[in-house]
Amino acid sequence: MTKAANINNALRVIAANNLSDGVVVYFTGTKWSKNLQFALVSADEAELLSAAQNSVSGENIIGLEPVTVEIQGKTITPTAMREKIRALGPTINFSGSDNRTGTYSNVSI
Amino acid sequence: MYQYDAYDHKILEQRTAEFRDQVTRRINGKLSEEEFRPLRLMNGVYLQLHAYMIRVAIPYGTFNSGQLRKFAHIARKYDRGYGHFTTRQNIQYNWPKLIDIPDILDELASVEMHAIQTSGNCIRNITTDQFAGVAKDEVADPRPYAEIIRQWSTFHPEFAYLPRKFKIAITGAKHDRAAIKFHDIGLEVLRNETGELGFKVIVGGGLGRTPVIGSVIKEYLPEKHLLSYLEAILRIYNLSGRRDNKYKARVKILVKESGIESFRVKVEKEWRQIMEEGHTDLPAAAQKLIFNHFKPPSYEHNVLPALDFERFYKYQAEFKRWIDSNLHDHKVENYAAVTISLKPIGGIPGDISSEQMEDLADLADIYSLGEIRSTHEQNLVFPYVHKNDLPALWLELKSIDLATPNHGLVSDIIACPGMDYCSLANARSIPIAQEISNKFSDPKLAAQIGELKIKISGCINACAHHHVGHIGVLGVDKKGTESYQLLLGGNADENAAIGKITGPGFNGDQIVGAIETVIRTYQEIKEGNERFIDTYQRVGMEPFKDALYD
Repeated sequence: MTKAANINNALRVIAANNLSDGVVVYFTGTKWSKNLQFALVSADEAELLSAAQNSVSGENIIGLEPVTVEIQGKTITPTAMREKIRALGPTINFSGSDNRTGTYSNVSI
Repeated sequence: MYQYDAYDHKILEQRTAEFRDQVTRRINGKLSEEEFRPLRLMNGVYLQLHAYMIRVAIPYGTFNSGQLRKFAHIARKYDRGYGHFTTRQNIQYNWPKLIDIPDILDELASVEMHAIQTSGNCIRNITTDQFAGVAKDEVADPRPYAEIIRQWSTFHPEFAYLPRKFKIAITGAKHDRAAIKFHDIGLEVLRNETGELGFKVIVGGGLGRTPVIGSVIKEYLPEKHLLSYLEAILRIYNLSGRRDNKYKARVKILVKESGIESFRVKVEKEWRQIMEEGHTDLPAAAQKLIFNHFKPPSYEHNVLPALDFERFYKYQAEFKRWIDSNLHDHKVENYAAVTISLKPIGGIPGDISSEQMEDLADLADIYSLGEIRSTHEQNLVFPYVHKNDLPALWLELKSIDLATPNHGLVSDIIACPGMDYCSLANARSIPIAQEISNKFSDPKLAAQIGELKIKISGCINACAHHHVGHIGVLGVDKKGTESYQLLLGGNADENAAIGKITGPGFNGDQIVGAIETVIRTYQEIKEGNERFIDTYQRVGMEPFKDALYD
């Protein structure tokens, strides 16, 4: 496995959820981070998944799944829209009492 | 409305304590995720794309102001300050922490609410007409029957592990506002030729990946046999429904594969046996107790000093639009049922903030005898509004952004949470709904277009009922990107119809333009006062297809 700077095609990260609050987290190689940009990226899915599974014990992490990503510059970006939304949050924002469309538009339609 | 007795309180208390223990054991590692998952689902707790989601049951969409205040409190304390009303008359919270959910369930129990049977392969929340009990066109109030079914089906040991989930809807009116032909069982309250109350029973309807219009299994079932007949249907389904393939496990597949006649023969045989055993149908005394909870109110609330309705209607265009679209005939003279749209222009269908919920609860106490209804079209209803109070209510609703005059119009869109929240979705629904809503924000244009039901689902599970939208949109995954199929001609009421796909799908940048084209075509070819669905039924798909793909 290598860090983001040295890898190329068919890259994966491992996504999961915190048991206690359900928040999406990514495997960094040693622990779990809410920030996708800290994720360990690898082309070896089996090895990556195995390492992530080994780190789960006692961590209360559930629902491990590989996610295909691309590296653009130094930024890790999921290839599928579903995973982009999972990483960035909903593309819509309920903004309280006036119920208007929010400005959070990281993923444009 | 129904109020819990000591037994109801006791079983709810026991259930929430049990779930608290299960959550503790899961957090402590004494339960594995595999062991815990079915337990949390039985309590309405899902793990979605970003977080847990809890779905709270609102039996037949009826709740009171105190319960609405509790929904607001839960949203503020345990979630992100808003709730989402669903297409099954329930409310969902999108961001609760698992460790907080036992406390949420305790809060709900304190106002006689829960999340039991809002997930899993069991009998789900019973749904009905949002105007039940006040609709001018109804034969009888369907809510007491819905309550009887709720009590019978809650924790029913025989039906806790059905082949698949099971949904029952009931209407008391000929005009079907509960989509009974698209439920596993649909019931229509009616009278026979001698005036006795009973039910038309429809079975095997549904949406999802295999949309089916339900078949009539019994034209007239005497009222007293409601539970025994339902039990007979459920028993046949439980025994013969497929368990090898979840996509073929709903009762609609069983009815379709065996044929309605064969299914009916089996049900009737089972029913006779149940009646010989003689222990299922509700005793008259117990039925009476339940009916007592649904007696019409006294209608003796204090009518406020009246603002001049006629003057408002004549000179205030926005009020006139709201009255014309959001008001419904009431069986009591001088009263109206009022739809409170949760579809503000450009907003998220079904979402409502804690502040709005609290304000609305106060308004319900003043203007609607403290009662509110949720609708399967993701709106709310005040069922008991005196007509003299309408201008004042409208001004109050307007001040909290809940007076959008669009019920049944182009921007009154049903949309599932879609890929913004749902782990099953293939495409986003809400941004499409928002874009359509913004595009048709001009109320005059919306009024010109007239009644139009647009329904947008983010996947084939069809939570937003896209098959039965006059215009339906289905989000699909096309090699990792979102694509949208367009359907026309669906209808969820008594003239049930399943929409047909127009042709090749559209990407996210094209779908709203395609809908505009469909609407423009309708405006060009409609005759007289035809609604969109009337025009479609007259001309068929071709003119729309020509406009879309030429």
